[in-house]
Amino acid sequence: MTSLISAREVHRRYRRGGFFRKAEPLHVLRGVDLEIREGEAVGLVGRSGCGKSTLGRIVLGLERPDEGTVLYDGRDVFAADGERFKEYRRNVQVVFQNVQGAVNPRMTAGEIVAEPLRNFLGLSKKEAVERSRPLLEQVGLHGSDADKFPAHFSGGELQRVCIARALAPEPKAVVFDEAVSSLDMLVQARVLDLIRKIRDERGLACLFISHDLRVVAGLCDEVALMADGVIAARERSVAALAASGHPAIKRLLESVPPSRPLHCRERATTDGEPEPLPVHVAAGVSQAAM
Amino acid sequence: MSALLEVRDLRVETVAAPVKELVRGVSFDVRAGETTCIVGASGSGKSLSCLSVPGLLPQGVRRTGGEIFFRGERLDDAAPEALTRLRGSAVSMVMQSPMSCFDPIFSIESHFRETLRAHGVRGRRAMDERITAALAEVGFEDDPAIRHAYPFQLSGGMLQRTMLAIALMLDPELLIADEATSDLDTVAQARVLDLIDAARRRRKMGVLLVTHDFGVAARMADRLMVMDGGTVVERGQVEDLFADPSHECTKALLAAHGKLCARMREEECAV
Repeated sequence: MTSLISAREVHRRYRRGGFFRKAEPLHVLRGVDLEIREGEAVGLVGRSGCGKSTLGRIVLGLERPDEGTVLYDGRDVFAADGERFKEYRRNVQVVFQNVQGAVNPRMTAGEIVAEPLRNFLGLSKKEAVERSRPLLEQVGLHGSDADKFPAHFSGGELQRVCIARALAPEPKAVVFDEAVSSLDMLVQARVLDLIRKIRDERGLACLFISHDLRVVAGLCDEVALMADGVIAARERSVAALAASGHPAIKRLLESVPPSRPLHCRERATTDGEPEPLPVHVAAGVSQAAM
Repeated sequence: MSALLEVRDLRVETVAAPVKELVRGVSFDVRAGETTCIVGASGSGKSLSCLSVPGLLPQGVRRTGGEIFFRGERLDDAAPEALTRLRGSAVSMVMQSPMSCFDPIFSIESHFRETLRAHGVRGRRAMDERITAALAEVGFEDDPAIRHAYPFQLSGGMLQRTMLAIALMLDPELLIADEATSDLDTVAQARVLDLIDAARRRRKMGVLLVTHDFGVAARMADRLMVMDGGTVVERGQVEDLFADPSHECTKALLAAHGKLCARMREEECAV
């Protein structure tokens, strides 16, 4: 497999402070190297605020790195001229977490999916909307759903519309940024199945960003752990990552909700309502307990 | 033993025509010192069921029937002032989205003071004592800076712990947590859940927890009820429901949960 996208020594700092005061910039990415090969699914796990999404946005070309660069097919993305940059944007698509915020409420599903077709393939609006119908069917919706507005879809259905939009210009890679985190469990399971199916059919490369190890496990060919602004470890699976013993992966693993009820729970045995603790006693107890 | 909270045959429907019944005859109990979990898919009526308890239903929907007893007293026909006294003290809530629950132009400390003032706590020293104790309970004892911070300066996990501190400050007997950890990463989620559980044990507090994640229910629940389409389709002790679900909806949800966890197990992720 050849390398499709590779981030090299990427640094990103965010300016802090307001109009009147400057503060130390926030150094989010501190030299990140990440490689995504053709048709490969890479999971990117880490805590909130560790820079996963920033890296995702840089890979998408939505943000420029302060240092370092991103190569696509061996060529520097950010040095590319307009035409080649557009080609890159076409080939790397995205599905975001906030589905309601990712679509224009005044456009129909058909128009939403048609937008990249019009942008990148230069189709007319009518042609593009017609092309959107089979795409909507591919993601498990009906062709007739193309005439409906976002308000008439549930969260899971709308995420399918977003997936159809990402697939429309036939990209080589898709970035899924917490794409199933805001969905309830049943819907999440179905959307994950859909993503797996599409991946297998199209040989898409994926960057799958999530804080939930359960979502990434079994979906990805490789899993990268992000901590302190760098890729702290990269392994073939979550299990291999766990074996690496990095403190960040240990914390993530320990925090995964259990699959079965915890048996050793102590149960309340008192009748009625006990006296509330006086506030200073509560403070004492809590400090001892923490 | 009578329950701390009893909800009987609760009904909620939309105000505007066409009238749609969103909660259709839901009954449940929360006992002191126990956690009752409501699980279900989006739109199954779990949030509306628990928002009805403190009388916090959003605009556009209204309660049309049912009785709510808290400590044996009717809440559903209580005067608005009585409910106001109860909210934030005996019955408190932690909501889903911490960023939208705090006012960005007020410091964290003034959010605490607002709650204390609303419940008749006067005097700077008395307030300070309470705030310090409340922050300590959620693990911020060594961090005086947090009192003067503004909501946007804190992470989602820290804000959610702060919201829990405000909710616990007046020693509630019932804590309602509506998807309180759904927006957090798993590490922050585990921390907040542990804090809720510790507070429950310490105070023998009743907890009503709404979640869509069976993993969260497995971690927290004593009793579990599964909602679908505005009704409770199954209820029981959490172990029984996990071991032997009978309703199709429970089975489907548990299957999705099992599949998610199985992928972790297949990979044999030993901690």
